[in-house]
Amino acid sequence: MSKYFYSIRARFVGLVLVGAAVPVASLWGQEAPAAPSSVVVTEEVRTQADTTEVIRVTRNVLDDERKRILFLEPDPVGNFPKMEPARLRTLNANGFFRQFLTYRHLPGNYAYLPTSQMLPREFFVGDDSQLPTLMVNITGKTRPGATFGMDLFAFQFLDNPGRPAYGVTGDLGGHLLLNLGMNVYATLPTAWGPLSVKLGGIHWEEMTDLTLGAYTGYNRYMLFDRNPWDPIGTTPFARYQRYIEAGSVNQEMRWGKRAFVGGVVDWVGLPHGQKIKVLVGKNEQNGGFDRRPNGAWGGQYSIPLGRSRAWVFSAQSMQQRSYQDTLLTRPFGSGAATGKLAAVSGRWTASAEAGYGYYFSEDNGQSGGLVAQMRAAKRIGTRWQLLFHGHALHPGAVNNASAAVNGSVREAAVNQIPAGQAGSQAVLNPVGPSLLGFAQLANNRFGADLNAVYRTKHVFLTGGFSASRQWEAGGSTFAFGHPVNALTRSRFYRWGFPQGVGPYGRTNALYRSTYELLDFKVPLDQPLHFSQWEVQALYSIPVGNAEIAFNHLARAHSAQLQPSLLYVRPDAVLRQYSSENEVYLKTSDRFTWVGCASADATLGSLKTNYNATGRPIDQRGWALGLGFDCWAADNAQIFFRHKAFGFADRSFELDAFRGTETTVELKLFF
Amino acid sequence: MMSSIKLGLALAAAAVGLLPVQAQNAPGAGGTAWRPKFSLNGHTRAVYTADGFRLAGDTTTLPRENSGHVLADLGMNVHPNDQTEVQAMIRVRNDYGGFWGSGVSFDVRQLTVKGLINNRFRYALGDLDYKLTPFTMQRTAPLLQAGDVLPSLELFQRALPGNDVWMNPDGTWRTQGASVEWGLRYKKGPESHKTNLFAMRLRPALGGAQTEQWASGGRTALNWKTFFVGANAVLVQDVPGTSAASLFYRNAVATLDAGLALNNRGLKLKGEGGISRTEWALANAPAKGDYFYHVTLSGATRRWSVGYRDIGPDFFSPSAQTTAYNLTNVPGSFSRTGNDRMLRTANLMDLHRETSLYRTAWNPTLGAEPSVYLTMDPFGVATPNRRGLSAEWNPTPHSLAGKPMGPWNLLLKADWASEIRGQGTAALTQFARLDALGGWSNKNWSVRALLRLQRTWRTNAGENVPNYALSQPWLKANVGYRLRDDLRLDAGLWTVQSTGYAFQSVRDAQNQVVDFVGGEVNYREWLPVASLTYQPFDKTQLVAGWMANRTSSEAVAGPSLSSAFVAYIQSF
Repeated sequence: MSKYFYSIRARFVGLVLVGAAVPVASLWGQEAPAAPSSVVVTEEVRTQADTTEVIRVTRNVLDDERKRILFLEPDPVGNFPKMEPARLRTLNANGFFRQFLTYRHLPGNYAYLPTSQMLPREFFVGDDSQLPTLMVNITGKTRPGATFGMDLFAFQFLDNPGRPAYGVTGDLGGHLLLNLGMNVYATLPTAWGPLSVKLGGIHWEEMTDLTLGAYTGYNRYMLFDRNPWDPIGTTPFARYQRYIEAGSVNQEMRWGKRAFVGGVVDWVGLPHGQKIKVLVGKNEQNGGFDRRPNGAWGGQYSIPLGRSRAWVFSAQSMQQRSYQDTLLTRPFGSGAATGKLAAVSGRWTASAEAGYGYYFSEDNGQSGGLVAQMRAAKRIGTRWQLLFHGHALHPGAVNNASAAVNGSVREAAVNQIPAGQAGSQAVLNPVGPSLLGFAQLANNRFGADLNAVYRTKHVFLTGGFSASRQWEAGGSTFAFGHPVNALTRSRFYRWGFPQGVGPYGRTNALYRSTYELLDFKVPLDQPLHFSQWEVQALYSIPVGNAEIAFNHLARAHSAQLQPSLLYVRPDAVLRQYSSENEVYLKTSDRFTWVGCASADATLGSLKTNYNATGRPIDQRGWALGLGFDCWAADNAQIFFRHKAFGFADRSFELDAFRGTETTVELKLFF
Repeated sequence: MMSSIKLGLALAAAAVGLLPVQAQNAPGAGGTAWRPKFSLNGHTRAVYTADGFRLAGDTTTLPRENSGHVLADLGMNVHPNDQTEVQAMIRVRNDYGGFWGSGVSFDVRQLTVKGLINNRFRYALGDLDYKLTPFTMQRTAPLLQAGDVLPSLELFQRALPGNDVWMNPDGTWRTQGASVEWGLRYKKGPESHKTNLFAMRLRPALGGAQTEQWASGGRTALNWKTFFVGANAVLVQDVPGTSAASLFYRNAVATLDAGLALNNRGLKLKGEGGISRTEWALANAPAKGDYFYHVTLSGATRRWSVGYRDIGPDFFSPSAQTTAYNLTNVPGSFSRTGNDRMLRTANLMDLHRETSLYRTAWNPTLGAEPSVYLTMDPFGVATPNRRGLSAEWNPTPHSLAGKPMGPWNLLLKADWASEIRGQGTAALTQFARLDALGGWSNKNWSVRALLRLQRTWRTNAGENVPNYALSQPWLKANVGYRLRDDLRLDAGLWTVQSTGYAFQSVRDAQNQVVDFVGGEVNYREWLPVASLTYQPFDKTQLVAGWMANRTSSEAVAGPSLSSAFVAYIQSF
């Protein structure tokens, strides 16, 4: 080889060896070049532990431009990005872990489905109320006023022993998913107060009972069967104590509200106390991924009146539209628009809301009319309160986003899948008169109820009478539920909402409840009247270091063809009586015993279903339970319930079951 | 020989010594301080669109569609120590209309580990965003790179499909593999010597279902202050034996690039040249090889440049010639239209909204050329079979600091090119293009526009074949009004015409031209856009607007689409 070649090679080797000096090597490569228009002095704030450091970086822009002209650099290549990405400002995570186990023993082969009989024993891990084992609410704050959030959940059914992963499957029991979806929040500062924007879903929203809201009643309920979303108190007894002291328990965010997906804008702090709310998206009735325009929209404007601002006027509306066909020639929809006036003055609070509700579809045509509700409450002394409520809803007014049930209009659906089956858009509630909750709103009804409350530190008494009647006679069916064992019955059907099941095809499953559907033998030509009584007594008695509390709730309902305080004769369409009783015994700050003893009776008439011997339904239900709430650790509680239950219809022998149900729930918050 | 090596060792002994190497954030590194062990980055977005469709005589297509989603890309950044970092990004997406968990999907968007070896070598393993030079590896999208004029349309494209397929402004390709980089610094001679190497897995064998394909290569460059020289290589090849296939593809590209600052008044000369060789293990697809070179002379002070390129007809570089989009794909909205339920052809509005129209892998064949929009460089600057000149001038006044001054700005570009090899004829097709991109702005108003004039012609003298004569003018214009510092109103329009007689080459899977299809072209497309953009915080935008698209071909009106949209985009 020539000396020239060796010389070149030597120079190259020397070059490499000399260049063994290594430049600064960082994970990200290089600093970003300054843009020609960048500021001369930049400040950078770095926070480490408790100290905050401000670093000033000075850059001479003219030097950068001079370098650009004089020097030459190749375009950057290789791995990108060359700059470390910015970090999320804050991230928070909280949530709960809730393991729920149920053991049911139900001998007797009860025909809960048309083609299936109940197996005598069942272990079920998890809760078919669709709330998961683990829920983590993650919120990230990207900058002041801008956040996003989502809740990640995971189910654990203890049904995949030894497998490396459970997988991600569909909703309603999928192992890992988002429960309430993903939300993006922003609070935008404006000259007239903050503008709150929520995008995504699910949001829990409310306006008024007649536009967007859910039934809350008068807070008369039992606490033995816990709701999966029930919060835990500072002690196991705290929840029961609060119920006695305040007549209500702490509810979580969905109480009285409706699920909504889409965009919600709230603007508060406007001049003169005005508020604006706008919603555009979907509610549960038009949920789904069908690309046809299928949504809901609405809004509310409110403004205080008068110098004292004791009066508040609001105008609100909620509308829904869908289409039955793909060419969008068969629309159907419903909605309501109301005005409401509310006032607080001394011992009085009052509100009156009225407006127009409607429904339209190709088959139904257009229907609509008055929707109205008023409430008034007066405190008498420090212990008494009287509450009055009146309502009137036209038969043609339908708004499934409101607290009012539709029982008079057979609604269209975007597809023909029957209610309760996957993909169905049909509404689960029955069409026809129903025995509803006390003072629950429904269309094709008007009525009034009067309630009284008496309270002391250890006693809370409440009771009321409600009278209502159909606006127009009609309906070929009559629906009613069972106050005792409603949740136990719904657990026969777990994740589904089948219709027309049970030994006689009368049972229909809802979320955490069921109802039965009776057929009128002869269509009624007179409007139905409903009479409802409810009385509840809550009181606690200290016993040494312990405390014992009682909860008694008695109901008497009747549906008949004439007005009555309470129609008890056999020719009533339906009579229902129930007595639910619970006791809560606090033995320590960490332990509370609970017990229940309840019974109900439902009596039909010859106007509806009767057996071969001409006897109408004659149903008896009962439940006896014992359990405890135990504070296992900080923010962790164990709830144990063991209940013996039974039901029998003396006229329809197959509709009978008797068994026990044991549940264990471990709930902890973090 | 021994004396030469001794000379090298002597030089090494005279080296300045090892410079202290500091990983970023090491004490004394200056600038950066503490970095948390775990942090999050990424972005969120919420989009809702209400789309409309109309086509004369169509009685079967859904006339309106609504859709939307909320998603978050959460990148988890873990720093176990100063020399290592793991970035894992998951996407959580919730489609509009889903309740109780339905419509939710999870996806792993990125999993990458980066690190330093002995504080000297930087490596990355996993998902990579990588590029080299424009002729070796760079993501090209000529339809989207004509100039930023319509801000909301371009934001939509960047935030939706661009983000979904990892289209970064740097022009990188998202691939999976490994890369290593290191640099040397000298006290004498070149300032630095930087080397990047990579290996990428382009196609897994999946147990023999398909042939494994890998790419490897890199760049090494010596840099001075006023001069650099680099060598680049990309090799794409199928790995025989990983499947039962007998057809194997192999493509190699090797280039040299260099740059020289000629004087101290910003006159610079840059260029790149190289060769490619493509082989198909198939008898009727012989190996092809060709060369290219591209030279530019530019003036940094006066902001002008002229260039010349010569890219051989058989120069193939899939990583540089694959366009980011594929307009032959079917858009997701209104996919089938007309009473015959035909698949709808994608248009410019779809290109800014539909992820399905974008490619995520390199194409071994050039495929169809979207000639209705571009003919000169449908595959970007590396389009083969082109020889021509280009010139660019930015007469906008600039300050000494390099900042544009005055209310107006202007950029002029002119290109002329010719084929090197005729397509089915000895006559060569010529291309000419003139771009004027300019704008004017004051405190509240801004106007921006792009006028593009394109002509393509070929005279087939003596042949019984129509002449190639195509005129393709574009107009993009936008008027913006700033209502407040954080609130802006924009209205714009993009029109495209393509009229004349055009030929299109049809290629087979081995990139061979197998046919030429000619026909009259009389195409028009209009894309109006209007939007209201609110930017309350840095990197956060709320945009509400409307866009529409109308096409006509051969004087017959095509489908009309419209879309009202709301989008919230937030990076963190």
